[in-house]
Amino acid sequence: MTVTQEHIRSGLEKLPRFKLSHLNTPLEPLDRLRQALIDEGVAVPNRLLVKRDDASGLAFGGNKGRHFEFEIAHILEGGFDTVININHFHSNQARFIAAGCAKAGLKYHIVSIDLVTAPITGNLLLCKLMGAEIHRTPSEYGRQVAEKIFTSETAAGRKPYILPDDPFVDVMGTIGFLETGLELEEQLNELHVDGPVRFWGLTGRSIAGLRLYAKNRGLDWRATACQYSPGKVEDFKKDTAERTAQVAEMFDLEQSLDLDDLTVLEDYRGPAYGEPDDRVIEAILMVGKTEGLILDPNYTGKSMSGLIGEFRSGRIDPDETICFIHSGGLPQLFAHADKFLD
Amino acid sequence: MTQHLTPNELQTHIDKLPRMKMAHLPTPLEEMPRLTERLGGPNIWIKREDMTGLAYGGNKARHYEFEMPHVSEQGYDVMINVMDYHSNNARMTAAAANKIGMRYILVLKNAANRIVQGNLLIDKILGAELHLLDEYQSGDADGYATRLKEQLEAEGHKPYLIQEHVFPRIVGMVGFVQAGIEILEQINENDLKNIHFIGVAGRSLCGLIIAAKAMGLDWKFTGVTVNYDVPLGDYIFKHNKDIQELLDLPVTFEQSDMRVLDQYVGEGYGVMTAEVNEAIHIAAQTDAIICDPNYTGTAMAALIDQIKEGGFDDDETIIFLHTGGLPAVFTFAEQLANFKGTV
Repeated sequence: MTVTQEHIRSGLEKLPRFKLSHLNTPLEPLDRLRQALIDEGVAVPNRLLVKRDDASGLAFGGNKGRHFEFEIAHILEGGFDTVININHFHSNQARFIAAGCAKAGLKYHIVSIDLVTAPITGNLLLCKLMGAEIHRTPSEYGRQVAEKIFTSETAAGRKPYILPDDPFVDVMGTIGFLETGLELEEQLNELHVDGPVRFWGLTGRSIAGLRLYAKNRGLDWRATACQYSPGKVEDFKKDTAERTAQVAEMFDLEQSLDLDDLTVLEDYRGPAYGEPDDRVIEAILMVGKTEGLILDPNYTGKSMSGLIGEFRSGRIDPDETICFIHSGGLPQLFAHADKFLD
Repeated sequence: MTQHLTPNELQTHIDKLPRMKMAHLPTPLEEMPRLTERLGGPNIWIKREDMTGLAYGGNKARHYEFEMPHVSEQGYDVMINVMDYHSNNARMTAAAANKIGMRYILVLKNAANRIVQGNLLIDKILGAELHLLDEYQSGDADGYATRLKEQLEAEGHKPYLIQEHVFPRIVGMVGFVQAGIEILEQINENDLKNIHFIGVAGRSLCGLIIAAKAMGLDWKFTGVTVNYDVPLGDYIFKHNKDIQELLDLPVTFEQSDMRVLDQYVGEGYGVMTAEVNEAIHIAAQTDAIICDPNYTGTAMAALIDQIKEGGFDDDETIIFLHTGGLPAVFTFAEQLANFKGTV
């Protein structure tokens, strides 16, 4: 049984929401990248597209500008006035929460973990500009620091919210991309795309949301998720199945995702989170040169290196339309300037 | 008395020029409710030209919709641009050139031995052929570019040295005549009255002035200078007849159409003042709007100061023109990160 677009739209409209992003984001062709691959002798499908979620407009843009519309509204509904987040110093998510808190007038603490001596630039700089109080600490102390802030804010009469403790965070990213599904179904129709479509992105909640949308709409949308950090593929698949089951219940959908609904690629994750390998740098330069389109080294550069790599290996079905999800992450490119010296 | 044009009529004047899609248009016109509340003056809106989507966005994506077909249709096969190392123009030309597969050579003044960051980093990522001049060479940057051009010609190429042509100097205004039509529609949709634009004193505002005069609108304009070295008269205002002729319009702009504020430059182009640093933090902390240290940050500092000083009427609707320039934020990372004030 498939559901209507209206069913999903009305489910979304029931959720409280705080406007942060400029939607819809464009869906554009990558004709010149496609041609460059053809020039290499690589077999490519008829259509190669990019969903420009980097152009969502909130503080350098990105897919999370969607998700946090629900998250910020959820925080405001809970009556909280202070948000405490724990995330890596590279984190795009930390920046989006900073932007959402600024717009909503919430106080924001970011416990910025890992390399405490890394220069303040990229996302962390933007957090700072947007008024985040930054607490830098090695990863193993992140939790303790957050709890200490929680205690002192509570003592000061405020009502703090520790973001990673709320299970809503895990489902909201998937919910944001149910809406992207609505957007994309219309945009693909406008471009008269028929036949199977493969979405190409990263192991996260977004691509799961798209796949969940398609499965319940009965669309032949396939999905490949590239890993960007170490971690067991099975854990990702298991988490995804659990989260999508929750979302399916919230939205009264019959189907959630099974372990084999997403193809996961491990081969392009590079040495570590936040560390691109040579293929990522090559992919960023190739897309910059052919399309004037910028990717970031931590996320979209990795998924694009995966796409180019799979094309070159002949492992992509030429009957599929490929839709690359540009999920943003653009500030962090500036933290990797040293990778682009000659 | 001049006959005013309808938006559709003005559009037909623009549509005579060849055009190629480069930008995500229309860019949003949105409110800055928290900045408005904080300053307690007129309502502040922002035109998000930072959201044109071309390699970190910016107003110049509009220009290249006209400039790229203009250049390529004349059979040029390589563009040469002479700019400062900070330049947003240099970056956006690189992106636009890549979108049509045009070879692009960038001669950057005062760029040798600079840290590769901000726009310069993006120039590199976009694969621009870079000539990074030192201070001594920069004195004769135009000569350097001319020699490059001659060498390419000797090799059988047809180079387009941007600084030798008039079209690139006026095309930015064309893009903003177009933007004027777009903004009028947005102003009407939101039922905004007593419109007063503020932005960096430059071609974009001049394009808006033309649009307003051609359509008979009583919009006001405040331009903020960011540079001592570039006299506005020579750089922009003297081209008022060129743009009028190109678009075959009954009106054009005059210097007197724009209130020019030159007291916010500080030490000069590329040096961020404490007021600009503070203004960047204020815009970011109220409405999550990011401004850059060279251009929009200076205009934002002027906006904040002018509202405090009564430079705008409370019944005006202020439209802040966010022209982009975002990569430069990271060139100034250290100075921004060390800002100690509370806003």
